[in-house]
Amino acid sequence: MATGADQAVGFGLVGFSLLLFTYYTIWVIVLPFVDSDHVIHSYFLPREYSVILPGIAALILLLFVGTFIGVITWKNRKPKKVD
Amino acid sequence: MTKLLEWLLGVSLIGISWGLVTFDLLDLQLPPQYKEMAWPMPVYLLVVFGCYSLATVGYRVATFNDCEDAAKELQAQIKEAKEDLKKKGLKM
Repeated sequence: MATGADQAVGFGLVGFSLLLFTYYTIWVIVLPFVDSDHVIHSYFLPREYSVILPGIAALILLLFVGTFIGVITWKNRKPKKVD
Repeated sequence: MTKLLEWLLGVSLIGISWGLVTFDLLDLQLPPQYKEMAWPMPVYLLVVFGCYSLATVGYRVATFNDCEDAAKELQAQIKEAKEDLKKKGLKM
């Protein structure tokens, strides 16, 4: 078994993804079948955001990956020729 | 039938059925809750796939088999090799 920080980070990721899955599943699949005057609706944003927020997250991820590649490529450029 | 064709066929079948439900192209008169549930489906499936990937990576990081003895032995061998090469004149 891995130890210490590895275990903490690993199980942290598992817990985070379980939370995210549960919240998002309730938001997208369960809420349409719940009466619109039930109190649970106050814990969730309007439905449009269930598509907009992942879209923005995907954009940010792409920006991050692109910037990372750009920075690394810039750092590794050699004068005149790239061997 | 190549794998690519199989995947494209499967994806387009799912895509067409999603389009039919979301844009009401067949006049199926589904109850409004089902239509409310259907239109975020592509994004939902992507998010679920992302969660599954994250959980798998996290779980395998947490349960990876560390070999402490092998690690220590490897470090000792690296040190020994470095000293040996320095003696023979290699600049580190």
